[in-house]
Amino acid sequence: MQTTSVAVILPVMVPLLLAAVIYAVERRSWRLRNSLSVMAALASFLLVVQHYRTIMADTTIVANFPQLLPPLGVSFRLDYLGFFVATVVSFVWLLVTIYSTAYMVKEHAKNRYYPFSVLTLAGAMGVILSGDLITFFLFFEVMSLSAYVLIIHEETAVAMRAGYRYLILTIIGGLSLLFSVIAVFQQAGRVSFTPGGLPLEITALTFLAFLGFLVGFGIKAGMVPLHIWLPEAHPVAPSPASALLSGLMLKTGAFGLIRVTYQIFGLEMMQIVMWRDQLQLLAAITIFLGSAVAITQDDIKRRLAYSSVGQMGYILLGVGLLTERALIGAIFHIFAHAFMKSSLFLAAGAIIYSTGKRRVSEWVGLGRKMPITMSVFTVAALSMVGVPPLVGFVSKWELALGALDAGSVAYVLLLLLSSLMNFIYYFPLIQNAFFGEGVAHAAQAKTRRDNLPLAMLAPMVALAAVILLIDLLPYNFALELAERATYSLFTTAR
Amino acid sequence: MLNLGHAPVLIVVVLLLAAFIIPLLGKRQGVVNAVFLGAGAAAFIMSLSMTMRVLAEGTLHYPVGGWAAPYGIVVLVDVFAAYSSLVLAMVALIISWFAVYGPREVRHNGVYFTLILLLTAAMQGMVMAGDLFNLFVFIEISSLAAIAIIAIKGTKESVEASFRYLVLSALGSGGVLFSIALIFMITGHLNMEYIRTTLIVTAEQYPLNLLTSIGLMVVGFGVKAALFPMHVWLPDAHSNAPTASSALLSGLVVKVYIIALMRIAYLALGLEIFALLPIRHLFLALSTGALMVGSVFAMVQDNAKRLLAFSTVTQVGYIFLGFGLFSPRAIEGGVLHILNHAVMKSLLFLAAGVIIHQTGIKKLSQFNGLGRKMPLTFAAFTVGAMSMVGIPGTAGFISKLYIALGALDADMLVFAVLILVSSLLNAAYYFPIIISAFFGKDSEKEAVEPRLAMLAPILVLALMVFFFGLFPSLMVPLVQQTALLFVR
Repeated sequence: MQTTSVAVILPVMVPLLLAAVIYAVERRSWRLRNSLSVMAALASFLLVVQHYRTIMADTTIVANFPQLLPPLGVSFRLDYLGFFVATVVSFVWLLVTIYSTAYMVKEHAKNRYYPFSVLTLAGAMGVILSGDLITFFLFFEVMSLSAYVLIIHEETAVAMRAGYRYLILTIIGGLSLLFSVIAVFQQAGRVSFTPGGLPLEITALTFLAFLGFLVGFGIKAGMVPLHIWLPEAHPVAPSPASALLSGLMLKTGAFGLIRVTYQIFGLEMMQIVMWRDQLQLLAAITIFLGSAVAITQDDIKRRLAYSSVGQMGYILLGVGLLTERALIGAIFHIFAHAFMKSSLFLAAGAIIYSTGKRRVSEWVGLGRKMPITMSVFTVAALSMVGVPPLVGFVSKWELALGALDAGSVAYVLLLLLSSLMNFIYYFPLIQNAFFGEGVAHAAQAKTRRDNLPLAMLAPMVALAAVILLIDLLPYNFALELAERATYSLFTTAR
Repeated sequence: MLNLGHAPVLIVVVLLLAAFIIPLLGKRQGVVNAVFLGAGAAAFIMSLSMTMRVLAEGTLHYPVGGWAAPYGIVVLVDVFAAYSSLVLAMVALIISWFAVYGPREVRHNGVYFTLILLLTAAMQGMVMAGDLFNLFVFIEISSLAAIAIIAIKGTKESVEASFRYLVLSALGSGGVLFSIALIFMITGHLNMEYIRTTLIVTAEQYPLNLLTSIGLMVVGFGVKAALFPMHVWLPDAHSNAPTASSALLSGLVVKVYIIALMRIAYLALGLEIFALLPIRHLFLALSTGALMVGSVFAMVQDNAKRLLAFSTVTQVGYIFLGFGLFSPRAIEGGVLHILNHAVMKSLLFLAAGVIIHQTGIKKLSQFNGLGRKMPLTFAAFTVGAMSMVGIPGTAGFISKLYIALGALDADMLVFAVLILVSSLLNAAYYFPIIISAFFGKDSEKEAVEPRLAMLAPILVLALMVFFFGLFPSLMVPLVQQTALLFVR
C-alpha cells in the first residue's frame, strides 16, 4: 500500500532549517545554539517515529515533487528499510549531540561545529528518506561535503591532509554515482526506487552503472580498497564527530547499496549476473583486512576506525549474498554497528577528554578510574566480538545462516575468524584497563561518576543499555523491523 | 509608455541611445548612473515581455521601419534569440549595478558606461539579427567595445592584452566577413531565411565556395568564442580587465558568438550541413581539448582572475560539447549552460574582484584565512565554485546533467565520462582555494566585508545559482523549444 504525505520531508527539512537558524543565533547565546542542535536531532527522530503505526501497517509513505530538477524530479519515500535506518540514525545522532554539548566545551570553533553537524544530519536523513536516485545523490553530496567541515575541525596539518584526501575521494565517489544515475536514467527513463527494480537490460552500460554505484557507495562505506580515507579521517575528527562518521555516515553507503541492489537493479537481475561475486569478494577482503589491520593500531581511534572498515564488510557481505537471512543480518547490523561503534567512540572520547590518553597501551588501570566509561566500552566491545545476547551476536548469527543459505561455508568461517580478530584487538585492552599492572595504585584515584559531566555519561550508558537489553526484550522490534524490511524487499522482487 | 510590440528593435535602440546620451551628461554622476542602470533595466523588462510573447505566439519577424524582406532589414526573434536576449539583459543588468557601485577601477566612469552599453546593445542586436549584414555590424561593434573595456583600465598589461585580443579578434572578423561575402556570392542574399531557400538550389553548384565559407565562419567565430585551441587571447584579456568587464566578457561576450554561429547554422545554412560536413565532430574534438587543457592550465595558476579565465575556456568547451553531441538533451544542456555559466562565472569574477579590492591580494596562495574575515563574499565565491564543480542543487549541476544525459542519448558514453572527469578537475583547482580561505592560517592582512551596495550583485548572483539549480523548470520550455530548432 502506498499513501502520499508531505510529512515525510519534515525529518529532513526541520534540521535543514534549524542549521540556518543556529547559524543566525549562535553568536548571541551558546545555550540556545546547543539546545537547538539537540532539538534538531530530537525533532528529526520524533518526526520519523510518528509514522510507526502507518509503517507497521505495511504502508509506504511517499511525496513527489516532479517540478524540481526536471526531467528526473525530486521524491521522498518512507518504507520499512528507510524507517528503520532513519530511526536508528536520528536516535544515535540525538545521543551524540547531547554528548557533544559537554565534550565540545574544550574545543575551539564551536560555532562552526554545530550548524554543520545539524546540516550533516539533514543530509543523512535526506539520503535515507529519498525516493529516487537523484534525490539520494543530492543529499548524499550535502552530507558528504558538510561532513568535511567536521573532519577538519581541529585544523591541524594532519587533519587538513586527512580532510583533503576525504574530499577528493568524496568527489570521485560523487561523480561515479552521478555517472551511474545518468546511465540508469538513460536506460530506464526514471530513477525512482521501485520494488523489484527498474526495467533495465543487462548491457555493458548497466554493468558500468553498477561499477559506478560500487565505487561511489564503496568509498562512503569504506570498502577495501576504497577505504583509504577512513582510517585517516575518523581519528582526526573530534570524538563525537568520529562517532557520527563511523557509526552513522558509513551506513549511508551500505544503505545506498541495498537500495540500488533491490530497488534499481532488482533481485532477479542480480541473481542472473555475476556481479554479486565481485561484491562478495570485496566484502570478504574488507572484513579480513579491516579486522587484521585494527590489531596493529595503537591509537585507539585508529583502531576503532579500522574496526569500522571490517564491520562495514559484514554489511556489504550481507547485501552481496542475496539471501533473505543475510540481508536481515546486514540491515540489523546497520543498527547494531551504529550503536556499538558510537558507544566505543564516545567512550574513547570520554577517556581522551578526561585523561588525554589516546594510546591503547597507556590505558592501564582505567577500569578503576573510570568504571562506567570502561563498562560501556566493554559491553560494546563484547558485542563486537559477538558474545550473546548482545546485538552484535544477532547480526553475525543471521549473516552466518544467510551465508549457509547461499551455500558459502567459507564466509561462515570468515565471520568466525573475524570475531576472533575482534577479540584479539579488544580483549587485551579491556584486560589491561581492569586488571593490568598498577591497577591497585590507580584504584586510590577512584572518582565519583568518572569525573565526567552527566551530558557525556548519559548518552553512553543509554547506547550500552540498548546493546545489552534489546535482545532480552520479549519483543525485539529492531529485529522485527529488519525482518519486515527484508521481506518487503524480497516479496516485491518475486 | 513604450509599445512593447516594438521590443525587438527597442531593446537595441534604448541601449544605444543611452550610450550616446551619457557622454553628453558630463560630470553629473548621479544622472549618469540613473541613465545607465535605467537603460539596462528597461532592456531587461522589454526582453522579458518579448520572451513571453515569443513563447505565446511563436517566432517574431519584425521588419525594421516596416520595410519587408529581402530588401528591408528583418529582426528575427525565435525562442533561441529570446532566451539569449533574456540571459544577456538579466546578467548585464546585475553586472552594470556592480560597475556603478563596485570598486572604481577606471578613471572615466562615463566613458566606461558608454562602452558597456554599446557592448550590450551590440550583443542584443547580434542574437536577434535576421540578416548577415547587420549581424556583422553588431559583431564589429561588440568586438571593439569589448576590446575597449579591457584597455580602459589603463595598466600596461591590460593595454597589451587588449591589443592581442584586437589582433586576433580582427582576424576572426575578417574570416567572418569573407565567409559572409562568399555566401552572398553563392546566393545573392544576406537575409538568413532567403539564404536558406536559395542554398537548396545553389549549394550543389558551388560546393567549394560553401565549404570555404563555412570553414572561415567556424574559425572566425571560434576565435571570438575562445574555442580551444583559439583561446590564447582569452586568459590575458579577461584577467587584466576591470572586474565588471571581466564578468561581462567571460560571462556573456564569448557566448554571444556561439549563439550567433548556431543561429547562422540553422537559419541560413540549414541543418543539412551538420549531416554533410563533420562540424559536429570538430566541435566534439575541440571541446574535449578545451575541457582538458582549460582545467589543467587553470590548476597551475596563482592569479585568481587568470584561474577564472582559464576556467572559462573549459566552460565554453561544455557549450560546444552540447552542440557537438547534437542529441536534444545535449543541446538543451549546452543552451542552459549559456545561462548557468553566465551567472556563475560573473559571480566568481565579481567576488574575486571584491576580494582583490578589499585586500589588495591577487595571489590565490595568499587567500588563506580571508574567508573568516569576509564570510559573505567567500560564501558567494564558494557557491560559484560549487556550481562550477557541479554539486547538485546548483545551476552548474543541471547543465552538466543534461549534457551527460545527452551524451548517452547520442550513444557516446565517453563524453559522459569526460564531463565527470572534467568536474573532478574543476574540483581540484576550486576546492583548495576555498579550503585555504576558510580553514587556512590567518593572514596578517586586514580585510573587511565591502559595503552592501557592492555586495548586493554578488549575493543576488549566488541566489540565482541556487534558484536555477533547483528550479530549472522555469527555463525548460525555452530551452526545449530551442533544441527543437536543431533536432526535429
